[in-house]
Amino acid sequence: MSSYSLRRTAQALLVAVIMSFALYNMISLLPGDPVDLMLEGNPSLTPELVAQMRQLHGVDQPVLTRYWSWLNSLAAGDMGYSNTHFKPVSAVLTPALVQTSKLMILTFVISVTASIVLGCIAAMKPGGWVDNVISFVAFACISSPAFWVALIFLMVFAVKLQWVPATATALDPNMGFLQELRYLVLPVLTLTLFSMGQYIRYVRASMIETLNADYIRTARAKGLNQWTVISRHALRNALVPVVTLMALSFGSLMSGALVVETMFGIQGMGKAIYDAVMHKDFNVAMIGVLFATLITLFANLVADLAYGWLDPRISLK
Amino acid sequence: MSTSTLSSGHAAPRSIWATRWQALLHHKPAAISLVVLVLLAVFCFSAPLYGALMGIDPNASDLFERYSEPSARYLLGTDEIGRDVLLRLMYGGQISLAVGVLATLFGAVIGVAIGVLAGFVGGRTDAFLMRATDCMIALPLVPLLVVMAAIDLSKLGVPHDLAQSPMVSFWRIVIIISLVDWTTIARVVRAGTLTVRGQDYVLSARVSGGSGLYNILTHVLPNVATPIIVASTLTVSRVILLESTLSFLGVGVMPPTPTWGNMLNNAQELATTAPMLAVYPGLLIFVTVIAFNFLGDGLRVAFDPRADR
Repeated sequence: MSSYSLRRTAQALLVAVIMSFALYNMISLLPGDPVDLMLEGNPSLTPELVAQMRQLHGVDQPVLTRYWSWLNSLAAGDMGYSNTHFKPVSAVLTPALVQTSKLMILTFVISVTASIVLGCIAAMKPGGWVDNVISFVAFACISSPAFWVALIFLMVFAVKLQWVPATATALDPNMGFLQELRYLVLPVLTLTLFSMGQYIRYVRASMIETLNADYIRTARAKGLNQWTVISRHALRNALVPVVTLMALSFGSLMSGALVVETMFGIQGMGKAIYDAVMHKDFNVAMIGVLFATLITLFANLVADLAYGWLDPRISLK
Repeated sequence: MSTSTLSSGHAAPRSIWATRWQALLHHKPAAISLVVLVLLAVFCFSAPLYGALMGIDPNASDLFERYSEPSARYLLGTDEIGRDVLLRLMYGGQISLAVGVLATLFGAVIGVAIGVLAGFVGGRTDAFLMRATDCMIALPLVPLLVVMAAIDLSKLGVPHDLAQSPMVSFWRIVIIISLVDWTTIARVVRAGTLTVRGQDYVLSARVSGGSGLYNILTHVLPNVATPIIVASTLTVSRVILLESTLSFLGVGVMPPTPTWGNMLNNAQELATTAPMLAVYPGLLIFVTVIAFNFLGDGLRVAFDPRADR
């Protein structure tokens, strides 16, 4: 491992620790505390008993102490217990993670493929009408609120035309991929439109810049046609900066997933986080948001390292 | 800045801002967007006038007038508790635009401070601040904002009644969004500062004993003004999207104060009863956001003589 990768990895670890502490603070500022929830609907408890319970669960300790003991139990593999699902947090979030991965991987594959094709086509003749149409579509994608697109899709395709089910509440991981796909069509479509606009712009801008390079002029001068120039000479170089930008967009994809999952009732990470915050399920909220954050930081790190590897000039800095 | 551009013949010298204004008007999508945005602002801020004219209160419910069709009195019909949809769209737009502009303004203050500091001081400070900015850009903002929006302010010492007030629910959204969306501005300001810092005139000002702050105020800030304007315009569009998303999820601006986002909040259940209730607010968000995006793009081109036209 080069010193560049080592430095980047160390920085990422430091950021992870800082983020987990910041998050722990935010979560403990949510309304109520774990003891409040246990007390709900139990009027026979005296204030002394309440104080004792607070002490027992460590709620009265300063935040730093609580963070430290939380970190220790996390290190021992204990993520805590969900007080809305009545299961360990890991049992709640593991299936959610599988669900979200399906959604995000499908989305990512489709939107990256589509945006590379569209971005390249747009870059062939910048300012031409094809470019104008594609650029407008990209702008429209960036400017559409994901929840509204989902709402319109639901109203048209699920309520009006009844082509697909409106909610994924009946979605069952054992139903077979094709059945599952029926539930995932609209969510994936929404999320694809949500992420595609930005990708198209990245690919287009990078491609236009690459096509102005000297070696492309050489390739053209050799008499190669447009298609060969793009696919064999330009594409690889144009995609180097795009890889990083796409990895950086992982967090925004996660944001989109929260909205889409909540809208369509998919039991993924995003919906788990949202429900946990709404229903004061502190342990699930903490691990859920932390996990989403760590994955994004990890994607970011991988992108950094990959960029250094794809373009050796970077790591020499 | 009133530097005159080179002009041939006897034509009066034009200021750089006049040139830029011309360039902006030549960028058709941006020019159209500017008109659309002015119209939208007029639409939203004429709400009190319209309400008084028609004698309608935006929050007055009338259960006998639920889901009424568009009529001479209710131009776009009424919602699930009989409130005038058009008037609520106007008031909702005021909130959405206000959140967009205010959060961007606050975010710009943070972004400019971080960008100037990073660019001007350089070295480790720069490396640290830019790493922090990179992390901020990568973070999953909506999950984080959902948590931040749900924070109980009375735990931070804010009196309970105040923490629950509509005013606080508005400012809370402005502040939490500005705390996460300053990154684009910080980056362009840093890049601009780095360029300016290396210029001979800044060097000479330093050698003559100009302090760091003096240099920042007189040389750096005026020269990074244009990238700030461009980045801010694009930030407004992002902020409006974030606010509407949070309000839609029920953690943004709280009803009965209308915003375009929270007007869509229960539109999902009403999809069969009153589908148009779901169409109008979303359409307005879309038009506003795309207009800000096109305007930002147009400004970028107009301000940068080398940008692709």
